[in-house]
Amino acid sequence: MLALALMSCTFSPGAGFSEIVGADLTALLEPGAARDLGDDTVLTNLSYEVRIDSLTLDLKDWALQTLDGGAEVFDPANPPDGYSLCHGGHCHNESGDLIDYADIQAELAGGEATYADEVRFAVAERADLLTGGSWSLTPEGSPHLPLVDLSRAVVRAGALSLSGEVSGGPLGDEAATLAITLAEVGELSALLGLSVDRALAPQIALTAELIIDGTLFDDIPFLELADAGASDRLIDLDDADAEVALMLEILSSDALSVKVEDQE
Amino acid sequence: MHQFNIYLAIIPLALTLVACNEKTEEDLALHACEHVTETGEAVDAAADAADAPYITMSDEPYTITLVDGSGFVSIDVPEDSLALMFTDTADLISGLSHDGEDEVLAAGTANDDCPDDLPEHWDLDLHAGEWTVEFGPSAVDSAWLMVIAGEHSDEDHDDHDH
Repeated sequence: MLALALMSCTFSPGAGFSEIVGADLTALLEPGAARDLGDDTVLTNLSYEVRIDSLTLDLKDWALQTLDGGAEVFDPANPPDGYSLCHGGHCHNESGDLIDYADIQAELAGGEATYADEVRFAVAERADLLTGGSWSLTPEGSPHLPLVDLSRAVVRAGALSLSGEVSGGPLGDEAATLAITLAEVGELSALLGLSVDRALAPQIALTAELIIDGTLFDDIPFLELADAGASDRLIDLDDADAEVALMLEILSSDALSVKVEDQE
Repeated sequence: MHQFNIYLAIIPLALTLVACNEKTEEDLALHACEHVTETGEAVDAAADAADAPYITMSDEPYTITLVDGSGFVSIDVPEDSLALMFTDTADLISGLSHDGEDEVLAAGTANDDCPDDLPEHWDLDLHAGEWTVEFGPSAVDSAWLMVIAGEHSDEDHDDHDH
């Protein structure tokens, strides 16, 4: 009995292979030198100048995910037949559509392969992307990670709202008022490829950056939209518009990046 | 003894040459980082693709002066070749054409060795002919550009880049 009692002290609950001791999330608009005209104005690839008065994104949560199912490991650098131009969690298929890595993994496996949250950080904040926002987060549940492969990080976001004005390019000096409302941005993902095992530091810190760059309005034909508008020079886009789908594709392709740092 | 000394001199030289002929993509990426502070040869981009000045694939950089934030430069590729193209400004290179036909330009990715200095690069599989690089529209006046030839491609490739 004494031996059993001593064993119970020896085998205390496991602490996992690594502990998350810090998790910071930043979200902001960063047009970059090629597209930044100053005064919150972005140059598009069609030479339009979009002045942004307000740009917000409702953040829901941030998660680190495992890829469950599928024996064959999908390598974005060497995509399978029928796929190309893999980046930011998606590849293009032969029709030019964006296909999620998980769906390609599922196809390779001949069955289901899905991402599942292993660690989740609640955010529930409206990010002002013009001024930028940063949040220090703690994981829901234990910060201790078990032996696991974390395939990707994902930030889930709700509404994206923008107000501003567009001019230049084919519009010339004539400005059009711009209002964009996207009800559900969805998942913004980045490959992580983090193996939690004995090779990983006992304590790690995570830094996620959600950077919206100056390509957000690329390929949007603002002149056609302004001419087609019900009222003069008002471009009012919402979920039903193809241009918003284009923005969503740009948003979801490369916006998120995650760094993992040892804390020893 | 004299002959032995010659061998001592030749062997390291030969080893060095072999090493130089087996440059990997990582070597070339690092090379680009090491030269990013150099302005290299100055070239004025043309406003029209038809007038684009020629640059060459080499391990030296160019500073391309743009025309109101835009412009074109061309590269003459005598035979099928792999190449890496690096630039110091993201979202600036907007198009690529081969003998006048537009090609799909994949999203550029950062040079892992110096992502802040060289935020975009492309692995190119260039068929023989004239390739034209399009810049802009943009808010910048010039761009740093390096196009380094890789090893010759013996395989048939359908895509110009990947």
